[in-house]
Amino acid sequence: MSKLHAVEDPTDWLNTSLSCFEPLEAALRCQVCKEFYDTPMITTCSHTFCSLCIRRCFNSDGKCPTCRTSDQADKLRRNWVVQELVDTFKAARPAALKLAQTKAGSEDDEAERPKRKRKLEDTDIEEDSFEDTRRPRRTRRSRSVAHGTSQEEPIELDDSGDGDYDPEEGTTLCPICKSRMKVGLVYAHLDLCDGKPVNNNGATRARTQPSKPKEPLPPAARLPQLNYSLLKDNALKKKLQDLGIAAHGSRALIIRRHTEWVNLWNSNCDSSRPRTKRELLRELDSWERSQGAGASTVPSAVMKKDFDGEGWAASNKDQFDELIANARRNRARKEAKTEEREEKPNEDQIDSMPTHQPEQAPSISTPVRHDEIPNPYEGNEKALSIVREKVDEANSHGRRLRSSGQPIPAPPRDEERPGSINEGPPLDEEVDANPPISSQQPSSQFVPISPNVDMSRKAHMFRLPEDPIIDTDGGTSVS
Amino acid sequence: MASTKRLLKELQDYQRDPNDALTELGPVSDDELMHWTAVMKGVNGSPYEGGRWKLDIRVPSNYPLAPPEIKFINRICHPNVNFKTGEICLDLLKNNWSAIYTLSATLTAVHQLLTSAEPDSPLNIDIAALFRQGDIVGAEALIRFYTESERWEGR
Ligand SMILES: [Zn+2]
Ligand SMILES: [Zn+2]
Ligand SMILES: [Zn+2]
Repeated sequence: MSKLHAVEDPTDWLNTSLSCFEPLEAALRCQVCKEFYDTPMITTCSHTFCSLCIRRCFNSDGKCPTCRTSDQADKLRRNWVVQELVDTFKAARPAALKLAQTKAGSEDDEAERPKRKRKLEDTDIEEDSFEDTRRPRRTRRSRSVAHGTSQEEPIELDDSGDGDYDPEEGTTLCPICKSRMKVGLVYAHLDLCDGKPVNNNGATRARTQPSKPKEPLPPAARLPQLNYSLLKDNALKKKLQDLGIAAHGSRALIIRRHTEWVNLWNSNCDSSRPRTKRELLRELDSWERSQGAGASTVPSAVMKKDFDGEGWAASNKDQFDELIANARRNRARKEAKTEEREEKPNEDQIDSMPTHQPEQAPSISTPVRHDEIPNPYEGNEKALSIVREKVDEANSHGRRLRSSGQPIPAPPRDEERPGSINEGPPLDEEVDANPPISSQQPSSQFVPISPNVDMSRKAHMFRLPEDPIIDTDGGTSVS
Repeated sequence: MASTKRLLKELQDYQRDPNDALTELGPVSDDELMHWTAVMKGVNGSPYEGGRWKLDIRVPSNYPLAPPEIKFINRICHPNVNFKTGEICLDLLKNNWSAIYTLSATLTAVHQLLTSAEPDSPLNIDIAALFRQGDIVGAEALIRFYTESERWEGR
């Protein structure tokens, strides 16, 4: 198995005998961070996110990321069922995945057997059962998870359980602090990394092991958001000092720090596995580093600096390198395929396609003139002559271009309503065979990334006849 | 490091489950996880057919709370793309951004923009004017011309 294993992902199920688990696992993950839900909270619009994720989103724009309904943090409620689903799924995952991967290969792979048997040890599973042999252990683990002693460790366990695990091979450097650690731990470590090198695995495990509070847990009282505009600098600083967090930096930074602290604190109050204030402070520190030392509006400047060092990228063992190498391989393979296809255009297809007909010209309400107005064909005689040629051709030969047998009626300038469509008179049979595409329907080209991507404001520039139009709302399709 | 984690995941996801609109998506180099690049294909059956465009993707440190900055590198003739700077006018990349969008999904939306237009906000006045006047033949010819002559031949 490759090291990519270290980043757990729903796509792990692809190409296994349980590929149907991919959407199942995706459903158990927060759409914002793409991780398994951590302290899931439900919004008034009934969407669920990690507590910290949704609190950050609300701070950012006050809307549900899925449906964009306006909502606020104090309306959030815990979603215990989802928490339980996630906990039990995570506990069952390694065994199920292993089983699914084995089955996808060869059901009678004898080579797999001895390994599995080694893990049998003290369990009493029948030998010929194809059930994963570690199930009893997993069951215990899932209970301990349910009791809140542990989370996020399946990768680590997997490694230790693997007969072919190679300790030399399995280490990598953290991209931020350059500490070497087991591949399976890097990902979890990124949550906590404050940029300072870690000498042993102890610190990186902090999150993956039962946290024994060394100090009293924070009281469950949630912090109120402040109306920053009402607070003078000194009063604001005082608030941060009272909370025990750093009060230095620009006013903007202080506000963002306070906001993040409130989010961290309140999501910790939501959690069934609350962390200590010290842990939260460490997370705040880590957040602050990722924000770029007070200049977070400059994207990636600090991250870039962090990444430039000799560490992570230099090593060929790293996971990130491997991901990139993989990308290159895939790209090369894909390009080869694409080139092939591009070399022989499908004449039939082109012939049978009505030429593209506009739904309407984009109705432009207020053409804003910038200083640097791009003039695509200004001074470009070649382009201009092609344009003229085509226009002349169309005008003199009638249906030569099929779509333009008649002068194209200027789109009615009726309403300036965005996305209003001009269905126009049917020009010929071909057009009839392809009923006008309503601009209210998402184009078939668009793979919906969420059910609510609003494509309704866009006007189609061309008719795209080759695919049926999928109505993502109703699931009906028009061809 | 919320954005780092998510980007690693997105990278892996793209590799396992590529995007048909793209031939490439990933960080520009091994040591810049916040700077990605992509190569987009044209839409078959449109004047952009056969085109290839290189895109530059800057990921802000508070991603995914804030959208990536995406620009066309080689020129594209489109009402909502600045012909000279490659700047894209797409509400998804601005006010309508949501933290649930991935880079791959966002590029799908850009790809879809190739066959539709945001009527309100033309960045390329000339091509937008051709469409507005109903001169589709002229507009298509122009688009085809640039799709061919500006085609990205690198990787
Ligand atoms: Zn989340
Ligand atoms: Zn919602
Ligand atoms: Zn680190």
